[in-house]
Amino acid sequence: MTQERSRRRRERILDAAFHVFSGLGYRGAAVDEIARQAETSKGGVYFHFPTKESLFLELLRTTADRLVAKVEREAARESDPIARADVALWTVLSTFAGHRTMARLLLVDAIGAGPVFQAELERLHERFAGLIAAHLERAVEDGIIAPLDTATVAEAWFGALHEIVVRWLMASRPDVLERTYPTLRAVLLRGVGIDESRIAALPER
Amino acid sequence: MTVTNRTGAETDRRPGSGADELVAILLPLLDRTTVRGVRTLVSATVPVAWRDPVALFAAARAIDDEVAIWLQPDAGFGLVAIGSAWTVEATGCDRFRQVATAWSDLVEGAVVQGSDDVPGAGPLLFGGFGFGAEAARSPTWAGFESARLGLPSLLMTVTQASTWLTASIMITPGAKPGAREAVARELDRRWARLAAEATEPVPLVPASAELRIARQVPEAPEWRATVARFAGAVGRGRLDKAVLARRVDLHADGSIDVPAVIRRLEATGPESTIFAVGRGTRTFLGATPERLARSKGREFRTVAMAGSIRRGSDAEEDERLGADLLASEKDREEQAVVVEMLRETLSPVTDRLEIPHRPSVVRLRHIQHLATELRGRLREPVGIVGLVERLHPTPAVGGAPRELALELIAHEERLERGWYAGPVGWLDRRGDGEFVVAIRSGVVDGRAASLFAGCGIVADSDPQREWEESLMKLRTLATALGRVAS
Repeated sequence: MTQERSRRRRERILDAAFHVFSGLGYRGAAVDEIARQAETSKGGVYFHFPTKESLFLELLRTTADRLVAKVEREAARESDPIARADVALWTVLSTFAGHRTMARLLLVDAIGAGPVFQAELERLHERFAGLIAAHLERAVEDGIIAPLDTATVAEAWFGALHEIVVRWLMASRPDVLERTYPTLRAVLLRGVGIDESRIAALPER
Repeated sequence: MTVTNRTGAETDRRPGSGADELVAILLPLLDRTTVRGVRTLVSATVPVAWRDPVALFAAARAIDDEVAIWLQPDAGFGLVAIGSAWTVEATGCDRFRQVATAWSDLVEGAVVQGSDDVPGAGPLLFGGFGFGAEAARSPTWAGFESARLGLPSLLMTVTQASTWLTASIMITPGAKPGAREAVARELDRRWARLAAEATEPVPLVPASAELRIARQVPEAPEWRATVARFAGAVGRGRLDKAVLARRVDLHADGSIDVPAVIRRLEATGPESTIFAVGRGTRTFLGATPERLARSKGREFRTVAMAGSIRRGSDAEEDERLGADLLASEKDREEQAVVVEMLRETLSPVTDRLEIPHRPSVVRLRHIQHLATELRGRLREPVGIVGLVERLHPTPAVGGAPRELALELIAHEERLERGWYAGPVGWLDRRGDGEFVVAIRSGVVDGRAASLFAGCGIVADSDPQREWEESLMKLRTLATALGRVAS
């Protein structure tokens, strides 16, 4: 019961912190404000998270974990490696499209907030690129695409996706992010030698 | 005397007209009926002269503890449920099934005569369910159990074409025929008296009561902080959406005239469903734009309503705001979450489900909403209560994913919702009927009123804007009650 209450209070602080960080950025956010929105004392926040840095790091980690888990879950529904790669890319893009604040926190605010965050972002980057590389390798094994350096291609894919999302985040009047997807998908799949007919057969997004 | 009612038909308005026929039908029915089991329902429906439903509600409310009204002005449909021949109460997760089972057991052996092929005429169950499965503890909700529906002794059904009166009597084994007859005659007298009192429609007069805010639950700073945390929870990817409600207690300078309030709600929200359920001195009432479901046999309709913006000061601004609403990512996301949940919930139980690709804009008096109307056909004839059980609570009042949103609401909202945002409606003896989501609602008791409003929180929700949106939603009922001193 007490443990349950403590867990709930911790989540409450993280929820409040997310809102404060996404509104004011990492540097602008004050622990006082987080405590106020979590309806707890500053001491209550420090009990769970000894520093502002540790709080932000925990947010980055749990949010990224959740996104990766969602991508894996969605991709697992497909059996064909090309369909999996499509679902994985689409899930990342559409999740960010629906969660602009999350995208900003993960992809913009964390950069330059400090070396600890840089390391965490590296980790996230590697996990996504690793996910994509695994799908590409399967596609090579299954003879769907010709052998290639999957690690480099995965970096390039992630880089393209990342750039499109960051551009969208920076735009003063952002267009609907999902609209970029059909073009992005076609470019990436053509780059690894997928037939036009196969690309056309993928579900409309 | 003849007058023209709102549908333009000439109707006979002699007091008690139609009731003689009622007794004439009921008496032989009562004589003939042998009671099977513990009790048998005997019910008769006859055409009667039109009465203003609000006037009838007012007359009945003055003498009866349990009176309810349901008005859909645009459809020309209304129900006034007077007294209670039988009630069913239930709590817990099983409450929908308990109600459906008890009702189908009762109507199975019922003796029914009259035109009950008219929708909403004949013996029917009217009432509601609380938002949550457990009974509310606060005195505001005394009498509003987590499921409570009643079979009215007298029911007036108004359709565009005709008006009907249904009388229902429960007879038990061993009751003397004379006693049965006495009940029928008593109902007849009651109807005659009410019909005589309700000859003049309740006039539409502007709300003049002065209201002051006695209490807000929670207070503004706490509510805004909770909005921020909910937005943070969505932003972190813990959930897609959660609805946060609040309560405002108002105190009027005099006793609140409930029938006058209903008349004003009807006038300002003809596209809404206006409902009032009276229990003792309390009345739970509101004007909701949100239909939960309507069923006839296996065919049903439901609507996803989420995402809102204010009304403009002129037609041009209205158009512009409506276009902004359709273009707003935050609102389209809120809307998509609801449609998706309905699709997931209904797909397994339907063999046909039609979902339009784009939402449309619905304009109400103080607010505009995004709405998507869904139609479908059920695989199994589960009836309206089976459908309500699946749909409630929709993400428009709960959240998505449902379980996590409800857990957050239960721990963070600091409010007893009671019947607010719960399903209110009716079902006939075939199990068909309609339920709405009881939002834009509140409880009136003498000079006191408690009003409720909720806002759907997504990642981009701003606490101050949500506060303003909740004020806009509170206004529906508040302006019908009186003028709120700022």
